[in-house]
Amino acid sequence: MTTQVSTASVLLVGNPNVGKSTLFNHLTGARQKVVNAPGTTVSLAEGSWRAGSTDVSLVDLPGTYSLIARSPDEQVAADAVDDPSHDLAVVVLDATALSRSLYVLGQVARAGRPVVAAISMVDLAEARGLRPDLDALAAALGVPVVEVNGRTGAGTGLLAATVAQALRTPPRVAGIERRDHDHELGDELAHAQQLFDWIEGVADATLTSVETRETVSDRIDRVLLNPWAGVPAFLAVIWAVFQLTTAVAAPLMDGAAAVVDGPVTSTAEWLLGAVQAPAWLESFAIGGLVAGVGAVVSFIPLMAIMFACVSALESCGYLARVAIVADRAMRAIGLDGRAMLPLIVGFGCNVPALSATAVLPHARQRLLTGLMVPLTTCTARLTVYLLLAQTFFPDSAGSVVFGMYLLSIVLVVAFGLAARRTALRDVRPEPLIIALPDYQWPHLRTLGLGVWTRVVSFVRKAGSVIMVAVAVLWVLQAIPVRGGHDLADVPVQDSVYGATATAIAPALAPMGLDDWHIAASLVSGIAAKEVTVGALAQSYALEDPGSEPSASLGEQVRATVEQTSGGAVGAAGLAFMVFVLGYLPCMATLAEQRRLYGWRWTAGSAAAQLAMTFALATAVFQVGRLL
Amino acid sequence: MTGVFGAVMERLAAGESPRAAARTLGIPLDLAEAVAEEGERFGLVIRAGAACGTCVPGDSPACAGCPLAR
Repeated sequence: MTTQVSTASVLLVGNPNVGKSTLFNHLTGARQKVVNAPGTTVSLAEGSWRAGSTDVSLVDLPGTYSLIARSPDEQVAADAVDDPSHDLAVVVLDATALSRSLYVLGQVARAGRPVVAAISMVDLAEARGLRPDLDALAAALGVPVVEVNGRTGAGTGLLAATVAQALRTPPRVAGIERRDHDHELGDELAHAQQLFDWIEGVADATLTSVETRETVSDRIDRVLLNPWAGVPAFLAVIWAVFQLTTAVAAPLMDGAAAVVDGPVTSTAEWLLGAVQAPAWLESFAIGGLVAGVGAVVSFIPLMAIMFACVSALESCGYLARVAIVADRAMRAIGLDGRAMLPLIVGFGCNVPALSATAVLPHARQRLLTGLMVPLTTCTARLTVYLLLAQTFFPDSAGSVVFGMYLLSIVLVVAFGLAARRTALRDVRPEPLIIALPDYQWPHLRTLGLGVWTRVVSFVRKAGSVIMVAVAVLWVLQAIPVRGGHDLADVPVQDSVYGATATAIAPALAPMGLDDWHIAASLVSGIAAKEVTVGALAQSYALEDPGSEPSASLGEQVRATVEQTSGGAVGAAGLAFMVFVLGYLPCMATLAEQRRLYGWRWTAGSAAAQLAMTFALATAVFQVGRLL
Repeated sequence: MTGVFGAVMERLAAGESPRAAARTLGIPLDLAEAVAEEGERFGLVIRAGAACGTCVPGDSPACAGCPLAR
């Protein structure tokens, strides 16, 4: 078929960073303008170009790796290729990544556009020993292939002549069937598979060599992704992280706590004394704010070290491997491998982990995973573990905290298996397919920035939540319910707060924790796990507000548990940590679960979780006290 | 899934990176990467770090402790 065109419309299509815009600038010079794509805010460059004797309106489309669009820019490219008013597409191929470029070329051909291929970066490919055979490429594609260099202008004259000829005799790509306008996803997937087979054939005919060398990443993966070595390696890495965190953070935390208890408290007392503040304000400021917020502030060094370790593992590519290792383990016990990613997120914070269940395709899989998420032990719970581990197991705090993370994994799996065998029998496991990045050294500046951002975010959240919680708790602690005390002048045991906690405390007796301070901190922790330590500190600080603190928070908690456990301090301490791990999710997690799954599932799973954790913590104490 | 697309997906599901899959199958690396990229567009492949597309670290306090957040 021969067509005569006076002003033709030609599209410039290709992957990002392939030199497409450089070529466009060279071809059109100053004869170009920027317009918005129809009905969008996406900018497009349009220019006029003289191809032989033909005037051409050249459109530089946004770069894309595929015409299955996932951004407005890519949608503009896909729509333009679909528009039959354009006469020709010049597809710019990257000689260093030819197969990838050919995918878009194949899609353009499937859309029915005549194609001329302009291949760039041939010099780079040659330097890497990957120069494609351009004659073989043209023969395999069945369309003209022109080598171009947008920077120097080499090949643009030949390109102009080729485009002029192509406008007269539109070339069609060999081996690609035109698409009828079905857009069913299943059809698109089938067509994509055909396209990749076609690309493999073209690449076989064109490329002289493929990379066969084993890389460092491959060698490391042979160990870290080995079915037998992967899990022990993961456990060893996490154990090392906790050892490092606890060993390095402990003196820093002690220092931070000393600053809060010493200069900060003294300064606050001096300032309050100077303005002759009333007793209730002093009680609120010193016993509430300074004690509560200070307890959390002392954990900043720990969080910073923890974030640095986790960020380093993430940025070097190891965390993605963890998902693969865990996926195999999950599938081995019949759970969905793809649930691993939200569960890993859950070890940071449960709330985004619930959002991350969106990666799962089926509603029942999302529900099962969403119910398992609260048993992943978030970083807020880490502060409680650290306090309790250093209080009850000072010589092996790191290993005990590591044990809590292991227990968290065991509980997640046990809960998931129980749910799959009862309420969610119809959930079928499917594999996780993840595009693993190569290992790389963490970029120190990026790492530092990431740690800073996360610490600031943690402090901001902890600060705001704790300020509100401390204020609410202080009000509850200021209202007397017995003993004939005045408002804001009441021993905390006789306040609404103390009386409520005292009423709840006997329920903790089977775990050896029958104490109102502990009960109060656990109830407060439901508001946000970050509040638990602050509430504990506040309870002790307000119990005897007039006196100087003679013991650290840890020493006070240990003294309490010695009484409640009948001397079985270690067993009760461990039971305390187990209970903190899983007794109830925080309010934000409960609210997100309710939004996603409704009240029945939320309440049911919370009740099951509470019962399971209570039974486990009780067993830990009752067995532990006998040992 | 069939052909080279299915073969690459099978290697990714077995825990290989696109680079290792390309080497195992004797195909160009960029072909394996293109398969992984297209698999992601079809919702079959998850890219590391993209699990929680709903949050922006630093903007959301909930992301403060997220180990996969970037």
